[in-house]
Amino acid sequence: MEELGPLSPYRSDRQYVRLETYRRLGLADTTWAAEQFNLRVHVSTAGPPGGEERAAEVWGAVERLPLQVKDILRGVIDEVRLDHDGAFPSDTLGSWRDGTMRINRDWSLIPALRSHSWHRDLGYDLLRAALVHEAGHALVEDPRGGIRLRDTIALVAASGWLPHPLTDPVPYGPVGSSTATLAAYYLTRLRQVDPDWDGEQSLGSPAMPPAAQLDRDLMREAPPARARQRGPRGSLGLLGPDRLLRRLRRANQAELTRELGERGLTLEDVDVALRRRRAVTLYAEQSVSETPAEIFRYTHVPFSRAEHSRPAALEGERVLVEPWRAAERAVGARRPALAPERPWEALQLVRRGVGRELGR
Amino acid sequence: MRRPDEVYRLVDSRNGAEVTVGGFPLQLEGDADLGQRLRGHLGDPVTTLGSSYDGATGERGTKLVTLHPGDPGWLKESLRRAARDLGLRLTEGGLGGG
Repeated sequence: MEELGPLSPYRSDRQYVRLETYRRLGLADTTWAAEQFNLRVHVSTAGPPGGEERAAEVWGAVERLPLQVKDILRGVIDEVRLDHDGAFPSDTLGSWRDGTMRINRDWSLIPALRSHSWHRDLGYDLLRAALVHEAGHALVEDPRGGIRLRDTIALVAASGWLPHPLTDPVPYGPVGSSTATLAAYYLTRLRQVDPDWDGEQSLGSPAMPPAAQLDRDLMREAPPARARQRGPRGSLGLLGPDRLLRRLRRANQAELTRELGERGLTLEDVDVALRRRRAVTLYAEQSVSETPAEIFRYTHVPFSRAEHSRPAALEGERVLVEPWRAAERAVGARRPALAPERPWEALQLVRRGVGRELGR
Repeated sequence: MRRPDEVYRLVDSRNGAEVTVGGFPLQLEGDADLGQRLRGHLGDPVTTLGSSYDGATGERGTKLVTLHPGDPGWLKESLRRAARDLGLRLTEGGLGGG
């Protein structure tokens, strides 16, 4: 990995050459991906025809990604694979794991898309959503270093994840009034469940428990694939805000009021805590470990801001975006992009006035 | 009638019309005209983003999830889209009332 800024993981100090410049030079899109992003590329030949056209759409979407997401691709993704639909769980658009991003090249086979009259713009929006979300996972969980666990927990706290008040009333008192104190409390409790959790390390650090354990240790009902290994372990028992609200509304109110009173709480206390913070999207409520990546997507997809969750958005800006911006400011202007490695063709382009694009 | 476990309020700030929506089967109360317009948006499945996870490899994925009427999250997701399309303000009911 090269060119990391001192203040933020995966901040690059070089600009990017436009994809169009490579195409005008007659160079393959994969050459652009390799030279500008240090990516290996694999396009599966299995499945329906059209893989190359689909790959061109994917690179077009990568070209239009926000600069921070491009830096993550350049700094922490080693390989992009366009695999056939059968290589994914059903309905999957794309995935990430440890340096590899995979995109499903056969969206026409995904039932939810097949039954819709979906058009090119929706396809682009979905592709961008998948790319940004998976880049968010890389920023948080990559083994080479991401954001600190302390900050990951802050994103979880800001998104309204809470224990049932009868199980743990503490977050419904003064501790829950600020995201910082609530996150500190969650981290302390998490270390009681497993002392190996270290707030100063990133989730993917080799010194830490496996990232998948975070759901098991934090959530009340971790998804089955993540919950399997819990065994006798403890858990903070956190629930997403919508699920918790539904559960509390279903409860017998008189009984709930009495039991809350035994813990020094009122229904109003619980109501205030539930309204204080919300998840940015339904996706962010599915599991604790999806929350940071989904907040990252939310911060980079302006139209989604209609789904308002101000505390989570603010925390996302502070934790996921601001360190990268600070690195941008500290390092100053980026070095010119690496020109395509075809000196003669590049010279011809410069003569035709296209060369100005190389410094973009 | 059982207390609905989800309650939402939608307000049209242009004329003050207000509707409360809760539960499944749906219970709509408030402005009849706005309620009628809302009903047109509440009946179909909605498709949204969700997660996939492979416990064996640790691979995380983004998948499309179709929520059908009555599924957890369906009502909120449908109302969020209706609010956007109709220019309404959506707020969520809390623990009290409803």
